Amino acid sequence: MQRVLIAGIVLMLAATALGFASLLPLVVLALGALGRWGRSRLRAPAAGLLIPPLILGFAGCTQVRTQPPIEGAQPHPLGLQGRLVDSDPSRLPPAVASAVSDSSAITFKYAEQVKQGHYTVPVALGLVTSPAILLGAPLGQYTVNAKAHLLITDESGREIGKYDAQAEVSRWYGLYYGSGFRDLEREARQAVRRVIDEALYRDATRLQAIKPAAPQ
Amino acid sequence: MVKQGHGWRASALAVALFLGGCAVSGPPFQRVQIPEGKSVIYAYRPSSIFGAALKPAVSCGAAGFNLARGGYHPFIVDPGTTVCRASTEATSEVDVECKTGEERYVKEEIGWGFFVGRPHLYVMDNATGESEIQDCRLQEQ
Repeated sequence: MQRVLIAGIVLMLAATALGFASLLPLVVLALGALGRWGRSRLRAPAAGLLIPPLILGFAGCTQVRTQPPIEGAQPHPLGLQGRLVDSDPSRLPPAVASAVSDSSAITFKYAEQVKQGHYTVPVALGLVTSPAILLGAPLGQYTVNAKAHLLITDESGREIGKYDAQAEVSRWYGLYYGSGFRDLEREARQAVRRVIDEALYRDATRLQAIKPAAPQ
Repeated sequence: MVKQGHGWRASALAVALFLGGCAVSGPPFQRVQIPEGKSVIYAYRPSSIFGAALKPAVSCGAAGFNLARGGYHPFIVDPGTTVCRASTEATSEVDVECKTGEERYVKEEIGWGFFVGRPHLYVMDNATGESEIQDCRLQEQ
């Protein structure tokens, strides 16, 4: 019995050093040591049936939080063109991208800021719950928070419009599911661009009526 | 009784040697001189017993490196978006945006894996990255 215990501890340390979730050898040893009790209660096929619902439950569990959508904000041309300054042309909301003109006196300044966050199940808890991890229980959660800011000014620097958006995308991950930060970042950026677009479409009538001020 | 005592000690010694041999022993963190028109990404891995035996390959751009626990490595990259990757049985990828002359911090942690721990990369804000990397040592090839 003592040898089993020593082997179990060594296995657990090795599993920690290697991040090895398949602690099944340890489980098997423990069940072997417990003899008939383990054999009579181990229902591997029944445990296997738990895997698909667990995976499906967490794999599809993505949360996207943005501002409430603006009603009646349908895509249409802005009727306003602007020059892009201090902005990445490859990362623009569609409404802004379609209104870029190098010859315009109006300027668009667009910026996105992305911040990553994560939660990981503590190692000690993982060691205790390794069979559950093997069955598909979550190991942690990735979160990406995106902020966007669009400033529209005329040639004299007068502010014509200012729009802000914020979105948070989070997703659980486990051994068999869950994507990384790149996918979440893409979703978060798309979410803030959508919010900026909606605000612009809603404001389009006012923007079209504005005539650029004469340069001072 | 004597045999059992030896068993415990031998196990403890084996584990201590196993883990102790994986730490980085280079000089403490020092900023590198950023070449003209370039940026630097510091990839670092805080010391943790979890996944201590692993040295996953970390790459930022074309350059790659096997990062051990408690180590850091500076990657000199071109300004723009650089993809950093770390792999074992699964791959973790992050996009790192750098401006000319700027420094960025990417943290690596080891999480649970099926057969072996999986790396997780995080782009840190500069204040946190700079603070955490102080405990790491330069890992040379």
